[in-house]
This record gives sequence, C-alpha cells and structure tokens, in this order.
Amino acid sequence: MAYKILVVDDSLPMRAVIKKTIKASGYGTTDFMEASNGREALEQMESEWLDLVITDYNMPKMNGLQLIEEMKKDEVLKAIPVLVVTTEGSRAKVDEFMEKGAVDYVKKPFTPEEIRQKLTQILGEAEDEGDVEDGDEDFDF
Amino acid sequence: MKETLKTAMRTSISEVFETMLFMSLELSDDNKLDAYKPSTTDLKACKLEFNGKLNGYFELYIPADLLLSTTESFLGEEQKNIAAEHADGTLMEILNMLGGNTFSTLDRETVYDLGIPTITDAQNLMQAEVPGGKDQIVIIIETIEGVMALRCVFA
Repeated sequence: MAYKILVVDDSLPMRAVIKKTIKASGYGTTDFMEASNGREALEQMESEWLDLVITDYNMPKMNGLQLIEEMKKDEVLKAIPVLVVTTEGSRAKVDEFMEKGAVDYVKKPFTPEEIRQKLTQILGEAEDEGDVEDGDEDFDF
Repeated sequence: MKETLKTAMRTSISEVFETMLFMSLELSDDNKLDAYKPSTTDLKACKLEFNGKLNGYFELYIPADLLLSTTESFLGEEQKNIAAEHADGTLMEILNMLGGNTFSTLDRETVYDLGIPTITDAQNLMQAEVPGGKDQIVIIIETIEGVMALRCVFA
C-alpha cells in the first residue's frame, strides 16, 4: 500500500533524513509532501488527504503544537495521525504533545529502528523488507 | 550545576554524533574558548539561545571542510550533491539536537525554550566578550577529520 506522509520541519536536511529513513524502513512506495512550518503544513493539507503527519515542535511562524491544535479543530484533519519528532524532551512538553492529540513521539537524535517501530505501530507493517542499514537509494532534496 | 551541565553536554554530544552521524569522538573540556585550536581559519559557526532555569546560548564551531564531510555523513549523500544550504541546515540541526538533548539529559522535569539556530560569523563570535555575570563551558570535540567546539554561555 502506498502511503502519503507530510514531513513538517524547518530543517531541510532533517526532512531529507526523515524521508530517507522511512523509505529505508520498507515504506518505499510512500509519497512525501514537505512543509517548513505548521502554517505551510495546513495549506498543504487543504488539497491532499494524508495518512500521517510527522512534525517537529520548534519551528518559526507556527510550531508543531499549534499545528496539532489547528488540526484537531478541523472535522476532517483531526482524523490524521500526528507523530512528533523533536529535540524537545521535557516530560511536561511530551505530555502536552500527547494531550493535544499526537499519537506518538520520537526524540532527536533518533535511530532508524525507532522510526520504523513507530511507523509500524501507526501505519502497520511495511510491505517491503527495507534495509535501515543501507538506505542507499537516491536522495530526494 | 556547572559540572552537571558539563556532563549533560558531553553525553548529548556523544549521543548526537554517534547516533545520527556515525562519528567517533574524543572530548575534552575547558573554561575558555582559547582552548579551541582549529587547524584552519575557515570556520563555520552557529548560535542557539535558550531560556529556562538557566538562560544563555550555545555556540558550535566547525571547520568548513569538516562540516561538509559531516553533512555527507548526516544525509548519506555524496559531497558533489551537497549545496551550501544543506551544510548550513545540517549545522543548525546538529546544534538544535545538541541543545535539546543537553537539557533533556540535564533535567526532564524542567521546560527549556530553545530559540531558532542561526548561522553566525565564526571570527566575530569567537571574539565577542561573554556577558558579565555569565559562566561558560567549552567542550572540544576531536574527530579523525578535524576539531569542533561547543560552548555554552549561561547564568
């Protein structure tokens, strides 16, 4: 099954690393969309249905928490699962992500295996075997 | 507090570079940036402010050629495909992870607000005086390919 995932992070390299990690985890047919902040992400969601949103917390214009809040106000968008991937590690902030409606949380720095495990929990098993060690497909900046 | 913060910084450096950059390191620490003796003046630098129980900023210094090979390692992409924005973005993301990870290692019960990392002129940053009333920790990060420095200025 081909999934459609929106990766929201103000860091272009981090978006590339997350995409590559997901592809290498066996979700090779996944379509990716990208946004550099929450506001851009909401604009992208106006025209496309998504299977998952992966978002950073600390971003300019609209952070990850505000993005989740806006999505939960919307009758359609509130059904899309949100995985937070961030450097933020305080217990209070992690609790806040979950209370606002994130389905899970991954702390940076992360291993490919952590991402693979969360995706399996949220989307189900990948159809491809994948190879998180090699991850040698072309980069898509 | 200073020793605890220093330990958290060292732990954070090891975790970030070993987990996401696959680099082995040797760390040493000092109380002044004078201890940082890079083999080149072609340095890149990035700054990240923070607020919480402690207030201040982190600075990360890295030789330009080491940043390029670090970006290559981070992205898993050949250097010929790496543009300046990828290298700058990698430097900002590394400092972001170092800062966030330092505080979650230091104290998970306290929320620290991190700013947005900014690329800054390395020579000007090195020469800038530390504001009065603030202490500093400098960690020298040695790799096979070059030497970096992470400084935390705090109060």
